[in-house]
Amino acid sequence: MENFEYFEPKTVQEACTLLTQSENGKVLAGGASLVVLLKNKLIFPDRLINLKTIEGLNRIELNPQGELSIGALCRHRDIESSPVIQERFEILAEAASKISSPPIRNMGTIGGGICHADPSADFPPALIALEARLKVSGSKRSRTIPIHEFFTDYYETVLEPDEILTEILIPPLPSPSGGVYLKLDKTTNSVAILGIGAVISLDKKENCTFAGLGVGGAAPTPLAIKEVSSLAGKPVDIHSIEAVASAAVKQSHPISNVHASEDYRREMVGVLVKRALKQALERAGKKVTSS
Amino acid sequence: MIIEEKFVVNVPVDRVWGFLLDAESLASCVPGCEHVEPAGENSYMAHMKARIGPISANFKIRIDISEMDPPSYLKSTMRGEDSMMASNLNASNVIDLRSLEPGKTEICYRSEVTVLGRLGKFGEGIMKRKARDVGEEFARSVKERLERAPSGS
Repeated sequence: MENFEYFEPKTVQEACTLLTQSENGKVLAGGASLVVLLKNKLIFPDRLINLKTIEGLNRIELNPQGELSIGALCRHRDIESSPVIQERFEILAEAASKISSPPIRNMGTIGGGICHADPSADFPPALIALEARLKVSGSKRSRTIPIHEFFTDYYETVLEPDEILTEILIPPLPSPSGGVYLKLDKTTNSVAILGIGAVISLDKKENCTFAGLGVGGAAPTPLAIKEVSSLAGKPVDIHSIEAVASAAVKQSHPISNVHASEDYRREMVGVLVKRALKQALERAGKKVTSS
Repeated sequence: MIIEEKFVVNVPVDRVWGFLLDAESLASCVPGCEHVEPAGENSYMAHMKARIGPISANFKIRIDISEMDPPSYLKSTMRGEDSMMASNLNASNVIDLRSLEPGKTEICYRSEVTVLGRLGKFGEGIMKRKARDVGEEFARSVKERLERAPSGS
């Protein structure tokens, strides 16, 4: 590893200021991704700014309106085992439980994972399906970014050099709702070949009131499949699910690598989107109808 | 990995050929290519920068034109190294020009690129996609430069 200055700020503002004063400073959260890059000598930051010394960034809170707030420093394991998340946002606990291995889940944080912007990461498809918003602080301003606007390319985001992700906000889910995260991988510990997050909410007449869908591993960034909103306003049937699945396939432009070919990934987007939407509907308490 | 591109420019083949042999003009169309200097007959030295997310590469490269058949065929090799990343880049490039009609030329190029070392370990698939983007940007720039320039130049 090359030499770098190491800082332990006490506030987010201090951390942002430290970033503005550096050439190519990096923010350290859990270290599950950053330390790998450092140890492999792929990045050479002049400063490492550890966020773990800032209080209040690791809370999971549900406000009275049902909106969930997850601090950026919450570890994957905290999310996987949180009773409120397990009960109200099962899809997130499910996505967390499928990230790598237990030691990594005890180390990596949701904020670190999102900002690393790996297109195959497990949280983004689930967060896209939930229409999450990301709260970001900079040295001069704070802003909130819808997650589908956050990722710009492989490992790249809209974050400015002085900005730090502090909080993930998830809007309330009406009851009944069902959410599912499906992961296609070679082994349970491996990186996702594809990750699909799907959420469906129903009204009393079993008409769909909300549907969200995120696809990871199929493009340089996680994809938000907007066509899923066509499910809303009527009962969900197999034909409408198939239409959404083919829209997702059309938007996919994956890469080939040792894990899977481009064609296989694209084909599996269709298969898994259908499966995820059906399962989300079942978790909302309804079976998919064939007509 | 192989980068291939085929595109048509509304410029006569002789002008395209002249452009290809003007190292500085050509290099200005290669994204991330800087400081091109002649290094003997048909050889050049240059710096090439590339970035994927947090990872930046900075290659010092040597380009040798190994074969040419004016005004239609040009073969070159490229060797480079990034000492910070302990990585090497080797490429074999072929450019074919075909006059479709007076004032219209088809440009085909094919590069076979190998990246070894630490950068080589970093997701071949992603690098391939990035390389394709670089290829497309190169084609766009060449077309724009050639078609924009007055015909006398």
